Amino acid sequence: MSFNNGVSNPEYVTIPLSHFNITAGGVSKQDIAWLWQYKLSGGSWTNMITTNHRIYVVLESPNSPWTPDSLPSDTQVPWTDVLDFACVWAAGTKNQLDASTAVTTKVYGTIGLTYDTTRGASVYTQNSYGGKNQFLCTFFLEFLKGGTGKGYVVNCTDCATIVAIFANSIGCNLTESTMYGSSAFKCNKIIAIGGTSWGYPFPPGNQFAYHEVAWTGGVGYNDMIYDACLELDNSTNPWNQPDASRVAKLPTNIEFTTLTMSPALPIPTPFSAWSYRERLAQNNSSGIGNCIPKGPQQNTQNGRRSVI
Amino acid sequence: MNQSDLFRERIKTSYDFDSWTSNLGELKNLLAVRFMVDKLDISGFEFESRRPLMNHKHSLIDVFRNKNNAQVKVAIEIMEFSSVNEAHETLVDVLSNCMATEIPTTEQLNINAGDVGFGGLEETQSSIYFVRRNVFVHVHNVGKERISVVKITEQVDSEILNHISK
Repeated sequence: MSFNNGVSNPEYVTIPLSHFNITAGGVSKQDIAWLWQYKLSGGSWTNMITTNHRIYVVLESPNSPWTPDSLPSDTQVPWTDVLDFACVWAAGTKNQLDASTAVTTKVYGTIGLTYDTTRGASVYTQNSYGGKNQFLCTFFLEFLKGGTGKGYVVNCTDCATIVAIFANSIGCNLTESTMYGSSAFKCNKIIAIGGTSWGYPFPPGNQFAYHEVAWTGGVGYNDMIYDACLELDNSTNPWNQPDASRVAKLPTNIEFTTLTMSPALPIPTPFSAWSYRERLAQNNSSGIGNCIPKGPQQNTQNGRRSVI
Repeated sequence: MNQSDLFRERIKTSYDFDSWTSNLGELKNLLAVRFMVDKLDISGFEFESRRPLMNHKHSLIDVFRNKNNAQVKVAIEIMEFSSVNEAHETLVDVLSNCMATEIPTTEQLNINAGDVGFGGLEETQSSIYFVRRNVFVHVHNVGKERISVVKITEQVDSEILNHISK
């Protein structure tokens, strides 16, 4: 850069970094320091100042609900507080599948959340009367930083929203979307977030009024699901298996169903497909037959809850 | 109706929404005004924080910490509406985001709180919603150790009733 009378010429300068390799390692959060030097014509280089910078390496521009091209005054411009966590959770990943999986795994496993076994209620999403259904991101970040937030007890809607919001901040493209039927649908045994043992949800009903997950594409039968709320049984008979023989697996990159929309029931065993609906719902008309993709919840901006 | 509307109507039917207002009679016109101004004095707890809930104009969340055990914390969320119906519709919104079915009412659980309210399916009532006239309240655990919030809930409701009667 050249300076004339204390002003750079031109005023705004792009500094090419032709030998950088900061993106080679995939998603990351890096703190770097730049030492700025100057020299007078014919003189030697003299240290001027060291400036510190945080670099977020993401897969691509953040996706909705984030609006990276908006003015800074827009509250949906990607929050660095969110990137601080998302870039660490998905560190080293180089594509949407791996990054979404890493975020889902982190949310399920290690940030201290546990399932609301008393009612399965959401605490980190909230409707404003007659208005938007939003993600209470400020409260959730407070929880992540060791504060109280709104507590550690969550439900499926919270998990789906957390996964989508954080994954989309680094360039994934997930939608919060639901499944249910004409009534509640019967479930298989699961290991709910924060739990360690197999159990039916809300016995003796053993059913979900609805379930919400982070979903790819058109949130339909053949689109992929990322669910941080529960682990499924990936054994050859998820419908009737001694607990000791069950195989726990977190549902990441799993198709809603590998079968037809309305398969003949009951489905014969052994069943080997990694297929979400069949591993979540009971093998009858009240389970699999009543677990249907229903799209995003009302007022969620098509499954992309805004953040507040 | 779209899928979400149908689901919401199903929730209303299953929890007998129409009776919520009809049970009130003329009481539905006796509303709370600026109930949340005063901080509550919760026995055995000390006040920790107060913040707005951000997406609702007349709302707050107060957090109280147990004086003898810092792992026990209870949040009291209060949203005040301009009408009973708005508060009831908010309760429907909340119930629509519950994965469980057949959630017991406060009346069924012998909890003396609200014109209408709901507890949980477990023996320890660690989270309770209720609406008293135009005020929606959610009392729930936010600390690492869970306790019953029945007494605190009943106290909050009593404070609302006192406020309304003034």
